[in-house]
Amino acid sequence: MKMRADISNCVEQISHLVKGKKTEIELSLICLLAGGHLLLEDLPGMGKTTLSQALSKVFDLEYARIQFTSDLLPADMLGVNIYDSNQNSFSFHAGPIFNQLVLADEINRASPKTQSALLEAMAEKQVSIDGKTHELPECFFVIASQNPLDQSGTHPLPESQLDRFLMQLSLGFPDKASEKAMLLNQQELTSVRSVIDVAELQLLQQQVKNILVSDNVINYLLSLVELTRSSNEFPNALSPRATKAIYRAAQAAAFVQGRNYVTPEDVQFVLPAVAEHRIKGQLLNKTSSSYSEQLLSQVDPLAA
Amino acid sequence: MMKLEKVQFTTVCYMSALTFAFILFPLMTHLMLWVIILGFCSVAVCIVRASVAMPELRNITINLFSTFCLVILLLFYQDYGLLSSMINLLVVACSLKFIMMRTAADFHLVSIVFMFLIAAGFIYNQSIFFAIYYGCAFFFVFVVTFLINKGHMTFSKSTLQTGKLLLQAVPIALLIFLVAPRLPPFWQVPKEESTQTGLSEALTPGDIANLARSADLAFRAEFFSDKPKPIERYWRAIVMDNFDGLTWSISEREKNTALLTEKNYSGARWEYLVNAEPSDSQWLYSLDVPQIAENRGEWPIFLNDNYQVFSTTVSDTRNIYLLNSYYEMPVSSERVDYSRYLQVPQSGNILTRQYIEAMNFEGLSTQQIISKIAEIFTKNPFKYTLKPPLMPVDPVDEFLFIHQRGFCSHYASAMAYMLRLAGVPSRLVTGYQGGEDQAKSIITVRQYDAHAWVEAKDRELGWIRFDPTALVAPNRMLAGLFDSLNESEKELIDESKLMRQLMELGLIKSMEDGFVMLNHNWSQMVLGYDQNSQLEIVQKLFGQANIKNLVTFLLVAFVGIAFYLVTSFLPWRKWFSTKPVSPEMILLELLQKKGFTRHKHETFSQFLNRITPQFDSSLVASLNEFEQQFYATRYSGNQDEKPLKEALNKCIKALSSKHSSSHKPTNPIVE
Repeated sequence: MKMRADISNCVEQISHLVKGKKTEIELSLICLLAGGHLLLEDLPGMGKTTLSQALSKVFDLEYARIQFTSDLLPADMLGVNIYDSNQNSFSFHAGPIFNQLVLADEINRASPKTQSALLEAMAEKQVSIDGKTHELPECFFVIASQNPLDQSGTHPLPESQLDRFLMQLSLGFPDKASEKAMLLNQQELTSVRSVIDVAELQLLQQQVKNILVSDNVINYLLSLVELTRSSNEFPNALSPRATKAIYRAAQAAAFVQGRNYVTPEDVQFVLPAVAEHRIKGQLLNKTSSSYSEQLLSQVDPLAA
Repeated sequence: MMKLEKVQFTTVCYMSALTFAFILFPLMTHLMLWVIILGFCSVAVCIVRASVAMPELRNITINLFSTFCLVILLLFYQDYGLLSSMINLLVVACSLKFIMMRTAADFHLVSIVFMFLIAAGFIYNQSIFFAIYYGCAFFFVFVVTFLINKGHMTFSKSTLQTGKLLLQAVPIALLIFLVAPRLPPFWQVPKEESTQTGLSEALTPGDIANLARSADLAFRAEFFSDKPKPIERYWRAIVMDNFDGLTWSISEREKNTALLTEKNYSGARWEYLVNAEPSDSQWLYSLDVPQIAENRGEWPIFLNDNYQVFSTTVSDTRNIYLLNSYYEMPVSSERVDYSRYLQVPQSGNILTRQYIEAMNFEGLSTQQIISKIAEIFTKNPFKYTLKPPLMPVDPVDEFLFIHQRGFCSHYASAMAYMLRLAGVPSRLVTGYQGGEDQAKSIITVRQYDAHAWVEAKDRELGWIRFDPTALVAPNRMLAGLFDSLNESEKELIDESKLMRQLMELGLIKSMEDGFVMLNHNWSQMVLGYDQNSQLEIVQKLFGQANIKNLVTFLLVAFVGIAFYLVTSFLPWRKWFSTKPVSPEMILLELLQKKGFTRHKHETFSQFLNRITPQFDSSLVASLNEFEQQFYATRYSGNQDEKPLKEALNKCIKALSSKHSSSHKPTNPIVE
């Protein structure tokens, strides 16, 4: 597995800060390259914030963090029109969302109203306030973090909104060696160098869209999706948006590997991150085997 | 030498150990105790070795031990007979090999010995139960063989595969069973030393009492007409005319009694089929007055002037024949000379002689004489017992006047002797009396139904049957031996008491009836299948049973087998499939044949990565090339399949040249 040099450099930089999580870092980069938003679900203190900060650093993105609380209002996030007595007119004060990389921390603690305002902004890439639309930056990437759903004081994201996140990742506890390295070798955020600038990132995102997906892979992808719709084993079927998400993520995964075509392995690599939260939905019970593994085990990649 | 991989080794060890135990179990009665112990110890050793590494025995130890075993076997050879000793030898050899198995070749060897042991088991038991039992054992042996050869297979999968293989073989086996010429054996299997139970040709009072302790099957009769009542079931077998004061036997003249000439049978009759277990005697069983309707056995059977059915050859095959018995006809004979039925020894048994001489028989008919003599049994407290006291000298005197306890042979012997003294020609007949009703039409006769009675000659009526035992123990005739014994004597019969009690419950009884019927049909159809049955089928199919038709039958059957093989095993799908077969499918199929199966969810490279550690480098190289071409062709939009096909050919070459690569050990168990 040889990664593209620039991407592997990114992974290298980020893993100075978030140790022992190369796969998750790679997936979050794939998510970024595919132009999707990322949902991080983890217990507090697992490095969600660090990861998103490191990402912003590496790509040299403007970064803002919005701490979602239950009393956070849409306006606090989007911005407000304020009457300017000098000019005798309203002028727009942009909220923290007008940044290239926004970390929506603990998104499930905010009220549904605020959540949906964010998600609308994510989907439309623009914000409408008092009848006037304000364009968000061209390169706009949201990383939302949420506490596990069984923690108190949470408004779980509805399925319809979960669908808007390209991927859901969970960092999980680091292994012993990584944690030890973390203690011995504490790195500052400033030590992360920028590897790719915004213009370059947009170029890469464009290239990802041109990655070839052969008929064989599309058929494989479709039979995977089809199975979630026909079988009773899966609580939620995958939507066409999900199909598209897997498609794009697989393209990005192939791109990261320096290939110009997608293989079934790419689909398998991204599928748990892309599909698991969509299939599982709001279910609280943590089943021992994940749905996406179950899904992968039932479809023959060579059958197409 | 091939060595087995760890996982495979464990499963194969467990399987073959269990199979060995399974095969040993029914053979146990024919094995020496130390051989049984050795056998089961080796099973235990094999099971332990499967999971725990154990030190190897040194060759010299094993060789010494086997020499020692051989010596012991030779010492006991005389007692056990050739056949039993050989089977013991086989088990010993197998056990010793079992202790030191480690290579695939060892397991192969042991599997083959298993087959021999199964075949040996069939020498002793051929009933349907054992056919099924050994069928299972056979199946296990095949699973073991399958595991050894295929490798890289889970236990359940190989079981499934073996089952499939064997099922495919069943039609062929059936056809071969039906058509293969029934040739006589090329060599004689040495006869089992321990005598088969059955009637003997000489009778010393007390003999049958021993026989009565055996619950072995003597024969089964299937009736097509009404069944005789229990009291009418006197199965004639041996007629004895010579008495030396102690023992009744058959004289040469009696043995060579002329065959029955034409006779006019008339009156009501029983029609039945007798399926007689192999015995040491040429005499077979029939109800009076028999007529042979058909012989289905291997050897010819005849009927002599004493109405005895007999076979000219004593063999260890069963005799199956159909009889008609005209029970209303008298047992008459055309002969004139009855002098030998009056023969008595010159001396001995004085008391009896005096007792008869004191009686006056003048003017009495034969039947009156009989009843007069028989009064001795009714007027004195005679008892019927399985444990008569020993009467070595003058047995008739001792029996009649001292002990007054005896078994049927005592009564019959004494009665015949007294009749002869009284001038009535008489003889002793042994055979079976009674039998157990089973299913609707079947009577099962066991060795404990053995009986002896007397026949006396009357001028007009012919031979009159008289059974003195009936006077003393009427139950013996009405309900069989069992009910005429008291509790302590019942225990002498070697059949489990519990079984007997269970039998009295209806359900068990009807189950047993069903089983008897099944077994009866089994021995009729399968064990009794011989050249005659074959010719019968030929006759049914072609209308005429001759050699030409038989050969045609054979040819047709073999063509059928060939056709079956062609249709089921040729790769039709590959030839006539509408879908072109892709190179990757060909490669996957090839690898599967070598025992490497792709999991359903595996992509091509995941599969290859999983299996390549077991291959050598040249094969890995060609597989990797194929993998590259595969990804290029299938996923990168390159439509040209040619390089992929070339890569496939390379892989095929590499696979076939590295024939044994699938068995190449990654971690040999034993160095």
